[in-house]
Amino acid sequence: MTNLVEFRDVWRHFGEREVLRGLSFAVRPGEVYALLGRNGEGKTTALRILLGFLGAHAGEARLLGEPCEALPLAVRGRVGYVSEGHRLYGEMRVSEAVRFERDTRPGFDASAATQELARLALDPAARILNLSRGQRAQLALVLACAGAPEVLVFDDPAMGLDVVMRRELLESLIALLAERGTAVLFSTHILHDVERLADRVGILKDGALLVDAPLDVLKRRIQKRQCVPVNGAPPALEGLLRARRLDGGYELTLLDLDPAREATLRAGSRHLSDPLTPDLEELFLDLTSGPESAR
Amino acid sequence: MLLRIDPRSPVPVYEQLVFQVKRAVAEGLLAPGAKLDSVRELAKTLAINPNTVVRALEVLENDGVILRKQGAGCFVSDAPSELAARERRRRLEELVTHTVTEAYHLGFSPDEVRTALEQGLSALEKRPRSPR
Amino acid sequence: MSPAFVALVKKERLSLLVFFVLSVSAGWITITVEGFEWMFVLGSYDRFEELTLVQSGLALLAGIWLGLREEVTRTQEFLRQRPLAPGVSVLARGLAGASLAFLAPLVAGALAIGQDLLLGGGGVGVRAECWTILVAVAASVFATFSASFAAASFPGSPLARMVLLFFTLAAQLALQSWASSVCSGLPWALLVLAYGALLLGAARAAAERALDLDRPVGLRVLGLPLAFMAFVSMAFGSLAVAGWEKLASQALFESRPWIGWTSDGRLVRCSWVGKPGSLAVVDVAGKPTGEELDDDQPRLPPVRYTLHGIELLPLPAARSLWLRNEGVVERRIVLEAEGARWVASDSSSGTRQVVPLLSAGELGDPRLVKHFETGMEDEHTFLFAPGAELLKFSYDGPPRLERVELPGGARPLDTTRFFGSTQEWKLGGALDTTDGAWMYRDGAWVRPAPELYHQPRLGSEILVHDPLRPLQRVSGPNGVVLDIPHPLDSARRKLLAGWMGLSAVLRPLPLALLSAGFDYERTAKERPDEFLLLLDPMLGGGYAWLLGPNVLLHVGLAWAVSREFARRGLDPTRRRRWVLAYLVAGMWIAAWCAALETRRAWRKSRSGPAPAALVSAARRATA
Repeated sequence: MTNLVEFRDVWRHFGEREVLRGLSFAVRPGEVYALLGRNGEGKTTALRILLGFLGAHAGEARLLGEPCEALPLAVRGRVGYVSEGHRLYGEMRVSEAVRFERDTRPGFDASAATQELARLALDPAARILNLSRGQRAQLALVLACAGAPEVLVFDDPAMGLDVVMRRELLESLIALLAERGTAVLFSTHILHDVERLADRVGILKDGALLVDAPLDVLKRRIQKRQCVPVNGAPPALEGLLRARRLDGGYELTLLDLDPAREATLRAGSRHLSDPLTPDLEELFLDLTSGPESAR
Repeated sequence: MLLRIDPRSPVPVYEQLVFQVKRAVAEGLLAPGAKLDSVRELAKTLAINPNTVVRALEVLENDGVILRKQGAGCFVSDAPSELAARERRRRLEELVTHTVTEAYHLGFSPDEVRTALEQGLSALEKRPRSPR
Repeated sequence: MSPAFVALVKKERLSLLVFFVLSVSAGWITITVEGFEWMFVLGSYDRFEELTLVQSGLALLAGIWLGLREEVTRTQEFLRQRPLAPGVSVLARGLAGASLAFLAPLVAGALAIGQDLLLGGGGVGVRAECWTILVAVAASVFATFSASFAAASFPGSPLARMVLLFFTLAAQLALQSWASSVCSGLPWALLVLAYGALLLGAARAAAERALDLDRPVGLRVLGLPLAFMAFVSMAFGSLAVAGWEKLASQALFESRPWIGWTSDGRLVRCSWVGKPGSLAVVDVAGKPTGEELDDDQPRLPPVRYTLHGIELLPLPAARSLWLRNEGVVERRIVLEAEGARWVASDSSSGTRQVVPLLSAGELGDPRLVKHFETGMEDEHTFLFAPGAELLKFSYDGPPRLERVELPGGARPLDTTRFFGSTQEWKLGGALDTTDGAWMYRDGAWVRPAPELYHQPRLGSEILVHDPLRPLQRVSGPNGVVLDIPHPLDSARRKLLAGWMGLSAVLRPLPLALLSAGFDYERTAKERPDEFLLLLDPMLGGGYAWLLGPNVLLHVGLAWAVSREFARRGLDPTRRRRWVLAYLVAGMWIAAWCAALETRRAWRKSRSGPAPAALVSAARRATA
């Protein structure tokens, strides 16, 4: 099975700042891949490299098998993209935007798009700059998807949307996925959505992926335990990702705690709680906050 | 179909779905031969990735709980489980070991565990069950 | 045209419409303000230049606006992710805007003519030839738009874009002033149109890759755009150098003497000494000899009749005539007697004044021979018609042409442009007719004072052609001559001479080589002025050894650049192109080079082992 999206050891810097350092990951057909990371960690840069807006300084990025630096026009027609902020032409009307999309993108299904917009109750005569943020996001999504793309790339699609809009966006995406099985690569901060949507999760830190695994694998391998250590400091243990001081003890985040390590831990603690599985948000915080705490 | 999943639970979403379907069948809420909602509808209702639904259905099919008919959808199987008896026994033993171990760690005595089990069984017996 | 192209143009329809309407309106207003009859009957080129200026200004702004559109709305990525060649968006906007820029002057002209016809303007009719000029104006506006559009849409830093804009506009200005003296009308318009089209093509080529300051510019930018910039910088550099050189040469000869023609028929050097207005005769060294020129007659207020740098101070009563020669270096022909105001020119002489052809009007279809306006009141603008008729504009009511009768039925002679100093000079607007000279003053024809009219002819020629130390001979009537040397006899002059030498060394290499191959003095006689700005008088005038330092400088510069770029890590292809550019344009390409090939763009990524992943799971075997 060929990868629709492939990053191989991609490096990119801006001036003196290294943003991507050997980023490698892939997205398979039909897969939903969520790219997570704090602001400025390189999510947007990676997506822009993928779409060919930026070039990689080292390494290789491929989209639908073609090098991202020189994407053939045919490949571009098979990819849908919604940028951060849903940049559209503000002075256009919704219907004009659909027509523009139809004229500039062969294979765009204008009638399907119009139907979908009607279903979402978006007024075709409204000017885009008069739409609310959520409506713009929906429009951007419809425009990106009505071309029947094989891959959808979203850069923070839920940015600026309120709870209701986000749920609507989520549902639209799910409907799309159910219908066509498009592969989706998206970056986001809304981790709840990731838990519902993502097949696979990639967490960017320090320019490379700290985590690149399905969500259930991640949750299975990482657990939290509260412990009161025997002698003041938490035991040095392989796989200890983070030790957070609590009142009277520590909350430990542990990776791959096998029985042997568990025994060591128990030996060094006066009290050890049962395993607590953090949700994605806690996991993310533990993995990304603090300097080099996780490597 | 009344299904609920909690995305933040440590249990993977697909496993939750599998378990819920199994429970619905066990409690008689899903009759044998009943048609499950389509992947699309399930995904929409639960607001989860359709791939996850597909995965859950695969597991359910492997476990013999449902049958997938090409083009027609998924149906609750109305025949005895396709799984070999040995496999079923192994599963039951697994469950028992799991429960007993946990109960021990919780500090219950074997008698207390026995009592609790019997209470659960009698509750299950009271519910209307379809002949298997 | 593909639907995408159309859609991209449609997207900009508001901006395009506003631009077009503004441009046509401004053009129409300009024509009205400048005077319809000046433009469309007399074909006054100055007025058309006003029109060009106004519409070029608007085109410049429109070009910048349209070029920056996608950046301003931040929709570059929205466009770029489409299955469209990146250059299509640029081409759509550029072509649409440039076409409208071209059409606007024509539409404005048509509207003005239509208005004039409707309002029954004097029956003067429509100049067919003015369309040629309008097309030339339109071409100019087209090129200005293309230049500003190409600069604004160029994927480079703001500095790069400003440098590009500066050079493209400078090139257009130079092209226009050069071309207008070489050829006029349609060939020139086509040349300028080609220039604009070239710029649009370059904009399209450069748009292939988006702006990325951390990566080197695309190789396409180092193709056509670089070649263009190198050529333009070379010309610009040459003009700049020529300007300095000219200043130095003027300063070198600033103490040129006045030449006086005494009442007893001698040519003498003279200068202003003593009481004001008193010219004293001086010797070769500049010291007064004690003699003074006759200066006790009342005189007319000095009127400056600049005929290529010759100032004349007419003294109606005296027979002395003082003149001052200039421009020894830039023009070997010093005294070019253009004659009086009444000069007819025809279109085959290659001058700016286009001969109008009246296509309709109550005078039938006369072929008019135009002359310059005197710079005085419009009343003094006369037109010669064949059959030795004289016409002038009457402004009672709508401007109309009416015949002018000369006293005694005299008919004007057909005066033509002439070079050299063999003709009589005509001053103050005197007209040569079959019955002698007549002058139009205060509404009546008068005879000009003979002293005004008949002045001794003075001629000048250069005996020794040396840009630094020429020998000039001034000749008067009856074979009287005066030889004037120009030695480098002071520290200041030597310094200025050195400065001129330096300018020759700094002249861009190709033009320097060309200059050394031409005989500057002969070229100056045969070719128009503007060529002189590209060729170097020193290199072509006997100081060709300056070519050595010139070559050394430019080759050395190119070599240094090549080495620095090799150190930065540029590949050989790029290095070669830059070396070529530096050989062609010299240091004048440096600004462009600095703007494009930044250190930042060539910074290498810190490679090494990538940070390891903490949790990395392979995929499930099958779906």
